[in-house]
Parts: sequence; structure tokens; C-alpha cells
Amino acid sequence: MSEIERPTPDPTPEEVREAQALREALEGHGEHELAELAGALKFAHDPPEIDPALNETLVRAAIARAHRSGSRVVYVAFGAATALALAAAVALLVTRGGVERAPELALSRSTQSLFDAPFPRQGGTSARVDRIAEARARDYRANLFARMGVR
Amino acid sequence: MIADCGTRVRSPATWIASLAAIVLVALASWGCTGRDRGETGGASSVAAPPVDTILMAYLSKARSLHHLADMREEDGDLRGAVAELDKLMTTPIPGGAQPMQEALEVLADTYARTAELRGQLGEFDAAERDLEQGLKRAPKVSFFEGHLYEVRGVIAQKRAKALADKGDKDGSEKQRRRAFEDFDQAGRIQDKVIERLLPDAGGHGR
Repeated sequence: MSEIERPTPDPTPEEVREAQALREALEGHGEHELAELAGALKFAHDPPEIDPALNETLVRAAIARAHRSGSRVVYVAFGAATALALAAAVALLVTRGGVERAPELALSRSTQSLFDAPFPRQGGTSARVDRIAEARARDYRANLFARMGVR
Repeated sequence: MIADCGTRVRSPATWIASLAAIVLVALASWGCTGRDRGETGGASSVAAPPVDTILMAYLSKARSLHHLADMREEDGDLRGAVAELDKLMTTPIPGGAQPMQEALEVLADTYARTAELRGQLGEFDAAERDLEQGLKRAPKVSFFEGHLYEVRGVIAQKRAKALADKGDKDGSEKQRRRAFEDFDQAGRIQDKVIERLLPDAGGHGR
């Protein structure tokens, strides 16, 4: 009798107990360390129909996880943008505060607005020049004060 | 369900993004306007210079010369009055290549006065030359321009009378027609100025 034809030896009592526990675990009674592996192999080979309620629950949970992760990214991105904008505002304020701004000055312009009526046919030129010089003298003084920083 | 979740997630983010955008745009525009103000010396016109010492010196000189001319006229010295005012004609105009508006207007008015004085002296050609110079400097559609045309009409009227006295009937009539034209032109200009200045006359004010 060859080695191959030789009958397997009888199982030991320990092997019999393990086999019994695995069979019961596969039938849904009790647990066994090889039962999860056997189940996974079974579902991979011939997956059963999934319960619609369970499917909905799984989808909701997955989407909720995705949104939690996505919103964190959005908050971080816009939060950083806002912080940068505020930092720029502060920098601009500080910079502008340190630069002396040009004073508001009265500019050269027509004197037409000093006169409300046509000039008399004869005379009156000196009075007109007086009015122009006096008006611009006020502007000139205002410009001097503005340049000196007096308000 | 997904749309609901999307709305819930985007709303706060949109608010934050909007706030950030508003802050950035406001800062950018404020920065730009501030820079413009600084470059133009705080005024709307870049070209116009501020009222300065040179302009005031010019106006002061013009004022003095006109009062001196007044006194010469009071003394009956019309040539002396013209001579005083001629000093302003040879004074450099503030602003150089871009003369300051006040100086141009005072100079134009001074030319009108010298023309008037020369007309009284019977120096009609010289008077007309002064008026041409004045019209080159006076702003268009202004009391200054209208006054110059008015004085030109007066000069033409005087010239017509002088020619008539000499028996030059054609020459006199020609000058009379010129006087009519100049007075009409002066009237049209003054009407436009008044219309522009007075809202009651249909204008929009100054």
C-alpha cells in the first residue's frame, strides 16, 4: 500500500471540537476565528442581495463622512483667505499712516466765478484786479497753512 | 439629500468668502484713490498748479500797476497810464508754457484797458493790436472775452466818428459796421455767460 492510498488517521478529539465550533459559527451560532474569513470568501464568490434599509444607512454614513471632510477644507481655505485680507488691511493702514499725505491745495483756475455780471463798458478794471488778487490771496494763505499742516 | 448637505456646507463658507472679497476690493479701491490724491496734490485736475508765490507776485504787480494807471488818469496823463500798464505786458506770465489762468485773464483785461486808453488818444491801430492780444488770452465765452469785443466796438465807433469828421464817409461807414458787429458779438457772448451762470435764465449755475 502506497503512502497516498494510506487512509488519513482518525481526528483527534481537539480537531473534532474545532470543526464543530466552525460549523456552528458558519450557521450563525457562536464565533470562530475562521468564520469571518470563510464568510468573506463566500460573499466574494456569490454576493447576496443587500437589504435596502442597510444600503441607505451605509450611503448616508459615507456621504456624511465625505462632507465633514470637505467642509473642513472649505473652512480652512476661506479662513486663511480672510486672515490674509485682514493682515493686508492692517499692513495698509499702518503703511499709509506712516506716509505723509499731500495736503489739499487751492489750484489755479478761472476767475470768472468771481463776477456775477458783465463788466461795465468803461472803467472798473482796477476793481476787478483787486477782487481777483484778494480772492487768490485767500487761496494762497490757505495753501501755505495746508503745507504747514495747519487746519 | 445631497443638495441639502451642499447648501448647509456652502452657506457659511460663502459668507466668509464674500467678506474676504469685500475687504480686499475695498482696500484695493481705497489704496488706488489715496494714491491718486497724493499724485495730484489733492485736487481733481492734474494739469492745474496750486496758487503759489509766483502767481501772487504777478497779481500784486498787476494790482499796483492798475492803481498807478488810475492815478495817471486822474492826472489826465493817459499816456502815462498806458506806460504803467505796458509794464505788465513785458512781465513773464506765471506757468511758462502752461500759463496760469488768473494771470491770463488779468492780462486780457489789462489789454482791454490799454486799448480803451489808446482809443481815447486816437491811437486806433495800436488799440486794435491790444485787443487782438487780449482776445488771444481771454477764456472763450467769458465776461473777459465779451468785454474785449465791447471795447473793440467802442474803438470802431470812435474811429468811425473820427473818419466822418475827416470827411471819409466810406471809411466811417465801414467802421460803423464793425462796431455793430463787435457789439452784437459782445452781447451774444455775455448772453451765453449769463445763461450759464444763472439758473433762473435757464442755465445750470456756475
